[in-house]
Amino acid sequence: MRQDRTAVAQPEGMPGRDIGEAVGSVEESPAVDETVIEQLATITDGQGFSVLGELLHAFLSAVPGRLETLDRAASAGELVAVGDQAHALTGSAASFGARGMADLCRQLRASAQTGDLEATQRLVGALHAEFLKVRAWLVTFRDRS
Amino acid sequence: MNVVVVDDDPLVRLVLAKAVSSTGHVAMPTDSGEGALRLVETSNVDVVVSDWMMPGMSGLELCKLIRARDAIEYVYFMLVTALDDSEHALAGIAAGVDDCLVKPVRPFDLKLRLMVAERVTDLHRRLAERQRGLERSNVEMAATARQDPLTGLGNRLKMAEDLEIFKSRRDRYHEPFGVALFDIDHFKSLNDAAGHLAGDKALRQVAAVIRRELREADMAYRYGGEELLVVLPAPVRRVAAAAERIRKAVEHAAIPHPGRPGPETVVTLSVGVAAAEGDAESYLLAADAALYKAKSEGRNRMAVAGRWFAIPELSSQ
Repeated sequence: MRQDRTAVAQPEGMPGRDIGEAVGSVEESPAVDETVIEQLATITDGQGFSVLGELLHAFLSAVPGRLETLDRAASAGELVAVGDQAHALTGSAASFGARGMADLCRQLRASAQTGDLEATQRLVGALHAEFLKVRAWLVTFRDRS
Repeated sequence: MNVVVVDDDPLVRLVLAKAVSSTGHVAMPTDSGEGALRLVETSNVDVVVSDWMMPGMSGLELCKLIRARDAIEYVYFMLVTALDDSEHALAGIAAGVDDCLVKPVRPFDLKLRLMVAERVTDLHRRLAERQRGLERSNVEMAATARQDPLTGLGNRLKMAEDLEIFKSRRDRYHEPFGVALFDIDHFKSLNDAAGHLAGDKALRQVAAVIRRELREADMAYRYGGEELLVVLPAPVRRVAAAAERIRKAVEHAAIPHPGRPGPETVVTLSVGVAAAEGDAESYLLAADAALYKAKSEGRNRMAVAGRWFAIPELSSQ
């Protein structure tokens, strides 16, 4: 029942519709919305081959560096930089179906904007953990396809 | 189509660019509105897919700048907004955005929207081509309808229009102008002796000499059979000087005039000059009267209507 209430479980759903409600469901929802990945899989190169692998590789390569940047900014208490980075990462995460990450990024941006350093540092930690789940999910996805 | 993809986030940009290429179009990714504007100005861009929120120039600002350009080619603009940005989407469409997409953009949606974009830009292209063609033929027809086919000078229609313009400048800015009415001396005897084709040829040659003697702001028209009118934006003394210069130039051009009575054997002109005061009817009549005077005084000479008169050269002896 809980999943039905969140956007995550809707096949045609869009991310972020229920930010407030989705917070609690991040734990229970899959780290990645597979419908988004399937949509990305329809993108092909000039020869008609899917470029999904290239896209996912780019995602997995780029995110750790951006999380590190977030870390540094959060440790230094540079909340404006945290907010900007979090905002930028929201779009990336959403584009790859990583809804938990996108939600955390939005919360992170909000906490950075309100100046809540403690919540900000906690959310950065949660974002790291969520990325590991996303990564694990993508590895599983790769190995089963 | 050439599709510019604008997003400051490299991963989003990568996905969008790949999705565009996937539909068979050429993706031109760039990370800022400034970069997109450069591409629009230098490349043949059909579509721009732009993020709304970017550091520096926003997607909406980019759209406004593209719309403000003075270019016939239409650029189809798609704005990418967050889901809860319906107000922004509305403002975007009002400001010239053609279509709004919600983040994260689904590749399939992008494909559909690009199909619409292709149809619209194709229509715009065909409209622009037709527009250019119409403008071209309008310009050509307007020019042809105002040109005398024999001499290449303006015809009576062109003359009437231009005199109105000269008149309004005179009345508004006190810019004087004057007219010089030329007539080929003994033109009938030329036609009689050598045929009408020779007459036409002589007329064309005279017109060519006149055109050569005029400056940009001066105008020349075929007024009647062998009568040519020159209009100069200048006070009457300068119009008279120009008329006299033209008369001499035609004489020096030594255009053959078979059958001409008297000692002369080349084409000469008589000319009547008048300042353009009052309406066209009256000053053209004054020029015509002066022309008649020049004829009756022996031809190949100028007469000026009104108070102004030329000072005869002192004889050298």
